[in-house]
Amino acid sequence: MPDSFRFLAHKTFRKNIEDFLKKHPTFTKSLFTNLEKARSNPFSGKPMHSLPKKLRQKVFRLWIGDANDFRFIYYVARQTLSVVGIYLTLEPRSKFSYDKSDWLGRLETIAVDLENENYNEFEILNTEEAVKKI
Amino acid sequence: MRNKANNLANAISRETFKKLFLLYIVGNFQSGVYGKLRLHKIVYMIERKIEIKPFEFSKYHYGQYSESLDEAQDQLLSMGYLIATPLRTEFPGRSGNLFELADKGMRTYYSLFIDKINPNLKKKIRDTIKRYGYLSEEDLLKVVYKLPEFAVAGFNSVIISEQLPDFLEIKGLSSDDIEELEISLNPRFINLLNRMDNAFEQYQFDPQKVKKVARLI
Repeated sequence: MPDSFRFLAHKTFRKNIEDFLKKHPTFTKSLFTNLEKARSNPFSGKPMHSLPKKLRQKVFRLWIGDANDFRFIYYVARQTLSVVGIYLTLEPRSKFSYDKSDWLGRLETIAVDLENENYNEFEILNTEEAVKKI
Repeated sequence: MRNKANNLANAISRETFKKLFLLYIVGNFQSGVYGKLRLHKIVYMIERKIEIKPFEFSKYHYGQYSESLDEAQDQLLSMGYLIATPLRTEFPGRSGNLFELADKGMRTYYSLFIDKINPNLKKKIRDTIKRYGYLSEEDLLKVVYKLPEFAVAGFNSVIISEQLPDFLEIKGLSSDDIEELEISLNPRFINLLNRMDNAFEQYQFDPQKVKKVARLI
């Protein structure tokens, strides 16, 4: 699949997914569907126009469940046809504070391993298969 | 002022508000803000007139000065939302910068949030900038040094204390928009995004070298 995007998940994001599924098993279908949506059509998420110009059209958001349920944020590296999972909130948005959670600590781990080209810390998620199986 | 928001999806944190407030003020100057000293004095004059006070001000060598304002300004410069252009001055030893929004089109965006937080705030900011923002530095200093609370304050003492709740609820905007503001003004997030972006664009992280394919089910 040379011209389709791949979903690149760092181990911390994979753990993020596992934690989410344990806590909210009824949202499994919505989670898998949205992970696959991010991979197959990454620019369909909600873009962030207010970011500095260099970063616009690179970060997108999707809802898991209905609007205001759980937030899923991802980064798109267009030149390498990759989607990188950033964060998935474990609490509904109304109870989740970006100011108080450890989400940036997790993101830092991802950034460091990208910078150091620690390929073993990443895996390609087969989101397409997951959607077919649920 | 309440310190807890009922619904965090409709609220921004105090740190986000500080940056929004500063961006809105800078964006309201027609050709940017000439000098840090002017910015501090104008923010001080605005805070005298409003109930919420994002920045603490103390009396220092050059009058009313806020360390937390300096910090927020540095973060906005580092994130790329503000730009500083060195100014040429006729006086040796004196230097300064012109501070402007990096993207002037964002002024309307910041204005929308300020308006929804408190419509009176917008008017007070604009009126203060109109009245004092374009005075010569000498005239501006004459005004701020004559203020009664400044005259009686001791050196290094606090003149205005910060008064800001932990979260500010915003009514009339979508939770998507509020969330975007909260995330995009987080300096650590922007720093990490830039690092991720550089890893792909400069260091050439090659996803094809990721060998492990994982199943979700």
